[in-house]
Amino acid sequence: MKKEKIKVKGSTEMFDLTISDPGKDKYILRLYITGTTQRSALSIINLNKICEEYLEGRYELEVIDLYQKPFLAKDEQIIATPTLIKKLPLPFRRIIGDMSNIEKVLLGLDLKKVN
Amino acid sequence: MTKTKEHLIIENEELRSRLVETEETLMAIRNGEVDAIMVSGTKGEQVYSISSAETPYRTFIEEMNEGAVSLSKEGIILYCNKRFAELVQEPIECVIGTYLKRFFTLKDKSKLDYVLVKQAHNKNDVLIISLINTLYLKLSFHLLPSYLQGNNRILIATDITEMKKKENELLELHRVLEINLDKIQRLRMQLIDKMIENEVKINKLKNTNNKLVKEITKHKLIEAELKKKLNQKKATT
Repeated sequence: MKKEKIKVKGSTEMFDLTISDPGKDKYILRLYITGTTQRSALSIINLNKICEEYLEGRYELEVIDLYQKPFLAKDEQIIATPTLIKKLPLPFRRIIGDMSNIEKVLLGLDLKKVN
Repeated sequence: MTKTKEHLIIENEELRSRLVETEETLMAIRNGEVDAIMVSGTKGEQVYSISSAETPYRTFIEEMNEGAVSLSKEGIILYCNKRFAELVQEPIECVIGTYLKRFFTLKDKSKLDYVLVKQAHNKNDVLIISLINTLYLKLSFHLLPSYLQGNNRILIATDITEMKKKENELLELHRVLEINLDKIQRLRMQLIDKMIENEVKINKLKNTNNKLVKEITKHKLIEAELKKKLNQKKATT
């Protein structure tokens, strides 16, 4: 996969760090939540915005309610919710929280490079 | 300042012991050996209870025979129970996080926008919508108070397909009934017309008959007169 850096000046400097061609790889994401808790709801809303902005048309998101399917927590060793798992593209990543820190989520999804 | 080998070994040991400690804590949480966690927030240290008092209510929602959905103001499903997933015929994990209106038929998609945008401050709303899988649902919306996940809604979905089928059957029956009623009314009018026509004919016949009777009587009188006169003539001759 070819990766390039885009040179952007000024306030959009952070886009410097964006991998311009993070590939046409499809993202397989899994978000673990617990029912209707505030953080669970926030994580869905925030993650939806991020996916629609950065991964439009090339992501699959499954949202798993661990209250209703607790047995699914064991597979991914979920300790706290909300937890987002990036299953594909590799490497496998785990992001914990309500996804309100966009920088952190983008880093976790390999959509930005560490400065 | 470069660290000596000794320093690195000590640091490594310290890090290892911290890692073991952290892992043990996580394992304890993971294995259900704790029932509360201390968290630091804006209000200082707080206790997060793991065994919650809301469990019976949650179980009730999870097991109820009607679909339950929590919806963001943009129309994204933030939570749904097993029954709702059954109604839209998709696994729960593929339903949560997606837009509710993707399950609606084209003609009903705008109904949801109306509730979410135009009626955004209405506390309660009811919609009857048809799903792309041909089911009919009655959706009862309730706006959550602003201190609870601001402007999100909960909705209860009731399957009214059977009711809707019955309603359609009744409407069809009503339509057929109206056609038949119209036919009967037309027949009745024809019958009345016929009766009037007959009545007129009967009256005409009666009149003619009366005239004839009168004529016959008249003729009989003349005949009697003539007979009388003839007899008188015979008697004189």
